[in-house]
Amino acid sequence: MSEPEPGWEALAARARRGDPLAIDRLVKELSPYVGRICGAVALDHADDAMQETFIAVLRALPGLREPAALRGWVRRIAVREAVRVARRAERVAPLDPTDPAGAPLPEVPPLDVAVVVDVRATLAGLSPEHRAILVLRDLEGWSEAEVAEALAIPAGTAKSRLARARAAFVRRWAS
Amino acid sequence: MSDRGAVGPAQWPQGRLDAIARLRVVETAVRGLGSAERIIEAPYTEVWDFVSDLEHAVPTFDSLVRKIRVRGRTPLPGGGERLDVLSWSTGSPVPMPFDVHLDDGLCLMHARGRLFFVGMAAAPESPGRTRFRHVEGVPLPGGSLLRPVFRRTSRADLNRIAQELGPT
Repeated sequence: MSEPEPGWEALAARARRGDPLAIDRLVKELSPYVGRICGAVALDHADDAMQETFIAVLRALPGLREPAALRGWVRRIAVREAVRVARRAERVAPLDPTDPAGAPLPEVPPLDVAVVVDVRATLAGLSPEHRAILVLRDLEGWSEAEVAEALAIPAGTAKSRLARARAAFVRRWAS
Repeated sequence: MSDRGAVGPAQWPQGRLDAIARLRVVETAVRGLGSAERIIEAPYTEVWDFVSDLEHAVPTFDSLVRKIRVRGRTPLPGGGERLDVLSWSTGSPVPMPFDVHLDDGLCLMHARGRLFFVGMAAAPESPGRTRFRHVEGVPLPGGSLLRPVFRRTSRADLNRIAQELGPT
């Protein structure tokens, strides 16, 4: 008979006390989820991004006030670390956190991830920030407000950045 | 769109944490551990088949362990097993109980009462070669003072595993 699944709160509490078995269990349980975000944002450096994410999660775990909110908290760290690792690996500067004024926003519908092809190759042509916003909004289904919070950018910037990311994705995918 | 072949979210790039990386992550959150890592000149399956047979393997490469007995095994949700283990140290008649998590390429052994922790991880490096990491220590306040000792014992354990499995 299989051991009963511990709740997130119980697992996080044991991990906070430094229990190595609980720490590994937490890492294993969260790995598919973190791997999806890091995979799409950090691409070839996804494994490094995952390791950095979990190290950051465990360092900050003692300060987590609401263990029930663990998954949302972890995904914000995963996005941040994946963008950071990708920027470092690709030697690209961060995008301006405010929306550049001027150019009109392209009108692009949400991506249908069920019919997207050559995803990796297409994503590789985008900046880490554009990859992050696409994966959060169109693959993970976050709201624009959640995306803005996770990426620490104003809501207006999230909206315009998403439109530009979708347009860039479709352009590269179609080429 | 679909003439190039449709894929779903599962085909989006997916990151993966191998057993060595999982052990490194655990190490960053547990104080007082000393570690060592090396390449063993043997295929991964051979290395892990040997090491994961704890009752036979551990006394052959850990000079501080005289005997290991596995008292029970329970599958863990999501893969792997939880083992209830007794370990007899060299020169001690009293066994120390351990909670053990055994997964593909990863073995974590935590003594009840948190007095001692051992972690072993293996991952294929290249055909016929395996990367192996060993950590151990006392995960208690002050345990980091013993880290140099556990680095040495980890290295010694690794070298014995390499001798056991490597080319003769």
